[in-house]
Amino acid sequence: MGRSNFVTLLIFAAIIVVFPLALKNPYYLRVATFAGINSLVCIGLSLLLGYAGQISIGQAGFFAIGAYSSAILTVQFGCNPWAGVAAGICLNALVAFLVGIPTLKLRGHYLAMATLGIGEIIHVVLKADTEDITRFIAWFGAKLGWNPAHLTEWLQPYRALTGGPSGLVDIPAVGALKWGSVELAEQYVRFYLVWGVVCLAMLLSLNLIHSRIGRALRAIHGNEEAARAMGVNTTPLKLGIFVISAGLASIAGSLYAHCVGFISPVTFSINESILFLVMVAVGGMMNVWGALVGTIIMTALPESLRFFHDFDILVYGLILLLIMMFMPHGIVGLIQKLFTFEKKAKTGDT
Amino acid sequence: MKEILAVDGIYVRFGGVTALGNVSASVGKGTITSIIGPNGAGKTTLINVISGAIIPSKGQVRFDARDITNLTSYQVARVGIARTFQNLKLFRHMTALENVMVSRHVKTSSGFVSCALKLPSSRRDEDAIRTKAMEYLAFVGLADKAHLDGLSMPFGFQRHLEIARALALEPEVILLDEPAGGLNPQETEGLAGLIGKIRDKGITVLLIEHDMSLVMNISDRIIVLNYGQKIAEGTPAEVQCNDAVIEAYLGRPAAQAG
Repeated sequence: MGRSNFVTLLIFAAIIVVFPLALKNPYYLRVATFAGINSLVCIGLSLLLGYAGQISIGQAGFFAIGAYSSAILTVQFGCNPWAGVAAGICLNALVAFLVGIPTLKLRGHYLAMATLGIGEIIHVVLKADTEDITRFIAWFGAKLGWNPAHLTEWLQPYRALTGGPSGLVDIPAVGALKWGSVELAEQYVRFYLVWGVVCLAMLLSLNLIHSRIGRALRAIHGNEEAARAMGVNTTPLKLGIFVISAGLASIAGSLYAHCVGFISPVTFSINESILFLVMVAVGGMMNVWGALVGTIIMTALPESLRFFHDFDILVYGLILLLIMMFMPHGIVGLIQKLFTFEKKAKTGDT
Repeated sequence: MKEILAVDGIYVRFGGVTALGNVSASVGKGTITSIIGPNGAGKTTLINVISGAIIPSKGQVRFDARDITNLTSYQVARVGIARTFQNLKLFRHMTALENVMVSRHVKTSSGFVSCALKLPSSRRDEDAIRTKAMEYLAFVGLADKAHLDGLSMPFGFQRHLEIARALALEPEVILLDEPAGGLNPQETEGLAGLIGKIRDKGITVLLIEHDMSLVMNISDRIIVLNYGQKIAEGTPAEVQCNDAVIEAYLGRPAAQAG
């Protein structure tokens, strides 16, 4: 990581520390906490999209796996929240690995197709009720000439496990912290927890980008054929970054579950996956800072778009259209360009 | 002379077209060997076969007595054969130095975790990568251009940058695919000097080139391809007076035609 990135990260961390103190409205603090959760997903997506040149349209699915792992393990089995976080990461890593192996060997956007599918499958499975699952298994069993009647009873608790369409409630939420007489209210604890994790993720991502691994990934993006000709084995690198992006989405999901206290399948639909892509595109996909800026803007924006009511999705579409037409490298890309332009003009070097 | 690289009975077919038919040739260690031939003769196809970008339908590629026919391009690069591209394939959005640094990837080994945590091993790797990459940039004379965006440099510099990138793999053999293409005579002269310097480092050079004065000046041996067949092989002097070669380039005299 370069010096300038480190300084930017320090400034950023300082802003995070003072932000809640300047903000008295708890509602805005809540929105800011959600922005942090979304940022985690988008940092992962930006690593994948901007550095490895691969698109995932299923990040909401990985987000869901994290949230449900945390919720199910803590609510149904009374496990420690950390166990939920770890289980979510492991499960996501496994799913990403299995999806990535056949698709990332190929050049082109096969990963986009596969993740579109897997995201939707995860959504459907979480939304399903016991009857849906039994009916599906009966149908599938009949195809194979096998009667799964005895499974039906065994599947009864399914609804109770995921909560089906209505989701899960009473997830242990992150609460207030107390040191002697000093108390930090729960909304502040949540804000600092989430943004602390974001800062850590930024630090690790920036380190990774400015290492041999990050350089090899950028080379794949820059010219895959040449990267291979220079001895870079592209498949494990692409797979690794995909697993990392799924892991970050999982952590975000766990944080979501423990900050909100209840989850339902609606939150994890394909719309959410697309919204993550829009966030990264708005900020600028060639830069993890872009993911951060884009997420903050796109999380805050709906609040100011309230007067559009149900037409807000049209406004998103318009924003995406304008960004793609006039600043394909996003907001951060535009700022960088202006900045380097200025530097060049000063030194007379063009 | 010790053979370092050899192709044996190579066939490459694209659909119904035979791009290479039964081509055999060998390259001696430490020499400059050129492949020439009219457009469409199969020169780049042969380079692609050697570098693992194309797996031949039949035949064998040997490197240092080892069969490398079925290795793919990243594996070929790792055993010690580097290449450049006829249509430059530099990495987009990367500086000249970063372009060369990519080639040092295989010479270092820190993984995802140690890179993300910036452990001492990854810092050491990073320092070594930078130093070595600068060395190779300096070798091709681009040390002062290290921080320019690779793709926005003048064309001649880009050609040199591709060579630096290939050299940074520390190969035993370097495959240069039309390195003088698009260069002016002055730049070509500089290139001839650079190829000589590469040979003096002990690296075997296999060169595809259309610029005949360059080829005749620096080659130890020349292989001539036409329509996917090898039609001649020998020293520059031998090839220059070979009838088949003259015919391939200039056509048959009218008196003998028909």
